[in-house]
Amino acid sequence: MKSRREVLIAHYSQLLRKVATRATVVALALTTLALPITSQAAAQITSRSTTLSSSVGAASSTYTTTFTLATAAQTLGSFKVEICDSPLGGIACANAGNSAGATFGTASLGSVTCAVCNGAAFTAGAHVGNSAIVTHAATAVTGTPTVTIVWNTVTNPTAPNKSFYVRVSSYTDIAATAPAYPGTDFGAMALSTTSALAVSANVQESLTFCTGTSGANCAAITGTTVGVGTTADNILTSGTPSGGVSLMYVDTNANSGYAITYTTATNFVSGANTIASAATQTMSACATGAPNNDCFGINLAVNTATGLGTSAAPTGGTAPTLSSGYGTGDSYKFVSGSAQQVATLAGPTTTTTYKVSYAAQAGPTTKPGAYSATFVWIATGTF
Amino acid sequence: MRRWTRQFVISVALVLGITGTATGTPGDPSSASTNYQIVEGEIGGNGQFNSASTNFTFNPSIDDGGSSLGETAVGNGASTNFQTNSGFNTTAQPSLTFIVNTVNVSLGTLSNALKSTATATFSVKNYTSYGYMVQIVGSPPTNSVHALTALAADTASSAGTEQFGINTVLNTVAAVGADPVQVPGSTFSYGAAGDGATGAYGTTRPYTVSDKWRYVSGETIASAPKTSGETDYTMTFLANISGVTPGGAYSGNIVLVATGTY
Repeated sequence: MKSRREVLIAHYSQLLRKVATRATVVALALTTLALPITSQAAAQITSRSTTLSSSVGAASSTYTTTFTLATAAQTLGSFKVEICDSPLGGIACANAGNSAGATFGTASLGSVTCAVCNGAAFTAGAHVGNSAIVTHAATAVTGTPTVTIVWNTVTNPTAPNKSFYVRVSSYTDIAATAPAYPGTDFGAMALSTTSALAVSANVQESLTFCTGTSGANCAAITGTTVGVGTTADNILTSGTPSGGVSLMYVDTNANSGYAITYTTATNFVSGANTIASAATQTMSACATGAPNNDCFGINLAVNTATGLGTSAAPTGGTAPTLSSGYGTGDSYKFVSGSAQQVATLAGPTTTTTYKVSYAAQAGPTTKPGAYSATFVWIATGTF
Repeated sequence: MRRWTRQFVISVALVLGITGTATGTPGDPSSASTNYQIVEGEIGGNGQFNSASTNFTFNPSIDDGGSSLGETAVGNGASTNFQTNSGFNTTAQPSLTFIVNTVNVSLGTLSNALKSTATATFSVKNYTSYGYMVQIVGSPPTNSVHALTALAADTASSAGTEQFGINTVLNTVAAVGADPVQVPGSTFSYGAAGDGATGAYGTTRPYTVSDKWRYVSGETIASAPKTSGETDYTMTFLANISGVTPGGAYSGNIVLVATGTY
């Protein structure tokens, strides 16, 4: 016969055994339920971003992924970077949707920067399709390092203006398989493709050129006659040169610049009488060799002789090159009947001002008359 | 027990009372009274999202980290180091929507007497991020021999001087462009012109100064300091030429790159 105390002890002992048994069953069940979750228990990578060098759909782009690992002192053998339709680590990375067309198959590893990942430098692992791996011999990192992985010439997803995702995950092995995906640490970033902006504009070819005898610019220029004689009657003096000056203004956006030429139909003539033409020489040298000891010529340089007008070298804009015979002070040249180039420039220029000096002198046997030549000046741009 | 019941009933009554005084119009994301406002309100038992069937899951996937139950307001709360996004159906997944609405930007025939301008628009929406930035990448328009001179600093338009630049604000003198527009409003969206850090907005921050333009490839022309709803941006392009700007058809592709930090 058991005492009341013994009966109670037996009762509660049995009750405790039942509770313990059921608790064990529940614990096992919970453990079983929890197992699938542990496969996705990667820690969240923080401060993560991926910067593209180009976001244009299907473009070749550099992917710079920067992030901070979450698990301190983890053993690190590899990182995996993926381009996916979804950011969810619990869903396999597919790239048949918005990220379709993206591939690392064309890519090369630019760099992996991690100051405290320790161990050997990272090298490129498998990088095909939408996945790329960088590896080094498994080593424990110090703390939670910040990592930057640069993949060059990655092909962007094809479609423009579509959101897609880059996932990054870390693993203890170099094959990026342990622990199971999504690895030790995991994080996703949203990105988007876009269309390129095509910016266009037109610039018209331009050449501004004018001639005259006075005026500060093309808008104000006037005059069509240059007298090369002296006094109000425009008289040439035997043995003494005299002259006058005309103006030219030129500017152009021609990429290969411009050339200035002149053409005269005749020599410096009065009816059938002609004053000799200078051939890159001083007026006195020219006259000395001429039949009538007279001479006519032009240049675009600074002349020191007096009585020939106010000469000047080209000013403003980009300095041109003066042609042979026309660029030396006090030396003159004149050729009629065909186009004669006096100046060139090999690029565009703002306004350049030219002064053309015309000089002439008569000789003792120069026939009297009104001598003239009509100059046609032409500027030709090469665009 | 009776005391607890009394407190519960009073609490429910208070909640119902606040809800009952809120006003709003259909389509308006906010319900407001004189002293209170409920934004993005939702009628329902709770704000749980992503419940599943068959093999039930209460929490969404791995990096959602939990469900939302019974929120009374939405929006972003942030301090220097932390931020929280509250509200029904506000996923914890990263999201970046970036749409460039304009494909072609034509500045027309340029003149050395008048500036030329044109606009393009783009939109950015970026949830669960620590902000985003939009960079410009590309060279100024070129005729294959000569590229228009890009303005390296925020500079006013000068007719007769070769210039190429952009900004992302309203240009009051030039009467072109627009300031960023928050959609549906500044309660939800925080995008702004410029990089959000350099200088002062509107005076010294690149791309934010009205009637001044700039173009440096790789620079940030728009940004948000935290997770943000949609912001609509207008870029204004400026071009001027000089008398020596070579003739020809100028063109160039400029790419906008949006990067979110999560």
